[in-house]
Amino acid sequence: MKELRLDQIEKTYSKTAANKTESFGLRSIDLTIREGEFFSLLGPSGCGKTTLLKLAAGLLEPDSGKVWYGNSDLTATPPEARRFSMVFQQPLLFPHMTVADNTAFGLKMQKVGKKERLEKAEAMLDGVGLKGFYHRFPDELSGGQQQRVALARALVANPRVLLMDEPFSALDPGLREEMRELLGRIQKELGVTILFVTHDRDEAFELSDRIGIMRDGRLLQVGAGTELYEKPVSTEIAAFLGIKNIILGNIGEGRFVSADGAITMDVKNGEPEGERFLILRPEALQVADGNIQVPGDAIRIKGHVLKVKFLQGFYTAIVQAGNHELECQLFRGQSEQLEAGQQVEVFFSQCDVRFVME
Amino acid sequence: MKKISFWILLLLSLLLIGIPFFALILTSVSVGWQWPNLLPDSLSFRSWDYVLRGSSGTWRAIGISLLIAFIVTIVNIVLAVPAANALVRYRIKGKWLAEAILFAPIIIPPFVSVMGIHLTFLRLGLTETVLGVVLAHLSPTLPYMVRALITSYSTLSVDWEDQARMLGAGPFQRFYAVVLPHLLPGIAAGASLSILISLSQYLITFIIGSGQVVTLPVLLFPFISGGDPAVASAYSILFAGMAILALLGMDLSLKSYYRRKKSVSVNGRGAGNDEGTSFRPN
Amino acid sequence: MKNKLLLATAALTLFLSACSAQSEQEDEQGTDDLLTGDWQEIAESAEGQEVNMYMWGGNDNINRYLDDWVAPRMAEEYDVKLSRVPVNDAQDIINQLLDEKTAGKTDGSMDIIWINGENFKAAKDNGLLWDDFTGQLPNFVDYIDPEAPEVAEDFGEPVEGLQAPWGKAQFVFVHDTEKVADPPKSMEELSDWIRENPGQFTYPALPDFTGSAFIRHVLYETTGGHEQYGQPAAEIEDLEEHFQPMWDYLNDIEPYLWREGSTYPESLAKLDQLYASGEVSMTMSYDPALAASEVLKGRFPASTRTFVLDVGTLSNTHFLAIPFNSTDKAGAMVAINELMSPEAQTAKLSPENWGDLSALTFEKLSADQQQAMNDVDLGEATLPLEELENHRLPELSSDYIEIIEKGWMENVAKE
Repeated sequence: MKELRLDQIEKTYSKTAANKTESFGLRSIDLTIREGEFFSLLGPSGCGKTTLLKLAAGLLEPDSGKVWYGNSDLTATPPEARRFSMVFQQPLLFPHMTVADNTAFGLKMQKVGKKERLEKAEAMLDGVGLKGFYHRFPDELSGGQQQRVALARALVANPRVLLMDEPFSALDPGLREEMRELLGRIQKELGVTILFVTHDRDEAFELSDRIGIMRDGRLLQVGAGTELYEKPVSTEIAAFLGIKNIILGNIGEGRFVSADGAITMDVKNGEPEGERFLILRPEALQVADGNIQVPGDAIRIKGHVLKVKFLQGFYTAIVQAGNHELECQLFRGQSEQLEAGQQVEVFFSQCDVRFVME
Repeated sequence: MKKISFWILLLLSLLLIGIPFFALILTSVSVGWQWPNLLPDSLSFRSWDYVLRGSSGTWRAIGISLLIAFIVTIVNIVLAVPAANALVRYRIKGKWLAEAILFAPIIIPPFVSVMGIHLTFLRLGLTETVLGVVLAHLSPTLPYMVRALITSYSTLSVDWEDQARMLGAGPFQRFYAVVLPHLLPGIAAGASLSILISLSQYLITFIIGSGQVVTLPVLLFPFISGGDPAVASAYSILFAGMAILALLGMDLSLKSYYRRKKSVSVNGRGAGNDEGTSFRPN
Repeated sequence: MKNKLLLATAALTLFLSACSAQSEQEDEQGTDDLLTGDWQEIAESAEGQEVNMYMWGGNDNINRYLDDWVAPRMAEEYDVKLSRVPVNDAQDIINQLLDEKTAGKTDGSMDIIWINGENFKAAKDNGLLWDDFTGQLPNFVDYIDPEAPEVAEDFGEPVEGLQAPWGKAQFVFVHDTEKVADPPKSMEELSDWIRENPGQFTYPALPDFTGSAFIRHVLYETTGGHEQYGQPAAEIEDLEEHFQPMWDYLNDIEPYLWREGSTYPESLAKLDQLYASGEVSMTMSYDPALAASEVLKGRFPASTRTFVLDVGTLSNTHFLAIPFNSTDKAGAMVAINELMSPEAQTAKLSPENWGDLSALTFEKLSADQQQAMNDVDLGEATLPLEELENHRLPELSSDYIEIIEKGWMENVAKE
């Protein structure tokens, strides 16, 4: 199995912001990216994800730890000899070369003959939807087209791993969507292994087989998108994934009681006792109204509506229960019946409950 | 409107450049040209006859001037590229000192440094040689080349080289494919200055060359200070011609470089591409 | 790597010093022969040598004279290749030789240098000149009076055979005969003439070289002759009192000068222009033949003539010397000898070539040679050579000149 493996990687790096340089460190990162997998590193800026990517690329040297590809140790191999490709945030097309020459650059470095490499380059350009653009110069292309060329250039060299450093973040939202689709399609067609860095949740979830969430130089959790969302290992991850319903409380004698006492519920057998955070995804929370059958084992919470919001096709109600403001997703039609100040009851199913320690 | 301002600009530059040049030509053929007469009383080709006659060594001097300027410029490029790279890219302790030393020759008059250089060169046996003169010319020219390349380098993000690396380019290929094309406008600017400054050196050339390396300024300077405006003007016109020729030559070779680059990408693909030949930085 | 470099440098240094040591030995052997040997032998050893003559290169006539007249003859008659090296300022030569002396360079490229005055003094004081060689030159022996002050001394500095005279400059007044029919022959007569013709005379402001020379003539005449100034200026105690008659003279004529003496032309070139345009009736020059050539060019009126004072005018000599480290000393001696030949001097005298006065003592020439010189057409405006030669005064040494220049600013220009 030809997987990319980062083994106990440590690296101190500094980031400069607002005239002050702070030192951070990647702490003992272990990560395996399987062959043919689309893996995303997701995290806020400065979390070390780009540093990790550059360590994988070889553009940075780790303070300790190793980079493996299959059975070969690449740690001391210079980047140009790793046969990885990389797409940066900027297209970085060589301005004095045509689109075709840009695309064929990697093959040229591999000493592929001129005719063959141009044929391959043009085929790849066709693949990214740039048929006929071969002889243009980079400055004659739009930003999206340039990034397509960059993608074609990275792919045509048949890399063992394609590294991508927030490649679409400089594009307009619509274009970004288009590029995501293109990338997803091509990845499936070519079966190329991709290590993708982004701070955009949606992007990571849409594209990735697995996602690694990073923060402050640590890899917090690795898993498929649904796994991360439904089973975050910490409030930090939950918060990062946009889950706002995080309730501090205590588990004792088979019951969870929130710190303010407003929310109480029975817990499954075997749930360990002690201080816990209860995490509730907004779509798991429902407002009980006359039209909905509330299952018997559902947990109910009383509160009043603070406001109703409309977000990206969903209506959301903010319900005040005790000291907590709970976000819960509404069904179509429900929003019209609710108004601020109204007393409501929300409920959720036992199986949507997630407790974490921190 | 645009057209009018273009013509005004053209006229102005013609006046600014043309009138002094015309005056030079007139002076070179004039006899007893007295203020306030607008034109000389009579014309003679005495100065041109002197400057261009076989035994005056003018052509040889022009050849040596150009040879020295050419070698100086090449050496400058070879030295300035790594220097500018280091000054821009690396955090070095005492960088300001290195920069101060590099740029000192611009501020310190050349004869101060050349006096010190002369003794050392004498001991090394470098005086009276073209090599010695070339080395001495580096001091007033290198700062300009480094300056130009620092500007070029500071607009070249390391990402470009990283990108080429990730596509499998080794150090030489990265330099040739990515860095050099980006540096070329800077190199061209630095080379123009280097050529012009080298061509116009008198004192350094005379002292280090000890009169055995005869460039055009070595012939020209005594006439300027000797108050023979006719011969001095004739030499000056030759000098201007030589400098313009050298710059044109550089410009042409640069253009042919770009044309070659382009034709490589156009040839063999069959498609025509009439894109002009100018370099397009990002 | 570093070690290798060090080794290479050391080897190079050794090699270079070995070379120079060797040539030094050869040198000493050779030069002794040159100073004592027979001229025939010297001429033979000069054959095939290349002689570099470092000289001011700012006059096309002079350059042509050397390149087109002298050099071909040297090659043909002596098999010596004479290469002229243009120099902007003779001071540069001295500085270079100083460095070469410090660095111990024994194989210099300068074989002949053209100097006089301060540069000669600097070269002599620093031991930059070879030796007392002039006595070996046949043309020096035959045609030069070595006791003559203008040959034995150079601006007060004893020459001691270190340099051979090549030519002379002499101060002359230039006047327009239409306006000055009977030119004054002394400073006293000049003073009278100035009073009678107010606004018609002036002199270049100091430190112009020629303006300063004019004042030296005043000094000589008003203070009782030049002989007293043979000693260094510091040895005359009452120098200021001594100079007083000169300042008085200059201040007396001032109101009758051009523009009532309120201003002076800032250079000789400016004065020449005033003369050319007829504003003043007299100008002056260190080149006795210059007026003639200006007439020829049509710049000065055809009625222009020159004159000297009865007591004489300042004259100085320019010389040719051989640097201490010349590698072709025999060739240099042959070349200098040839440059001093009556033929070369006569050719040099001709305004077509240069127009520079002969360095030779006129009486020592044969009748034919005298005739040849006299036949050179110097133009009507130039005085006969004999008259010039009979009216020569020695130059004042430079320490006086400095004092006079400063004194003029305080005593004359200020008031």
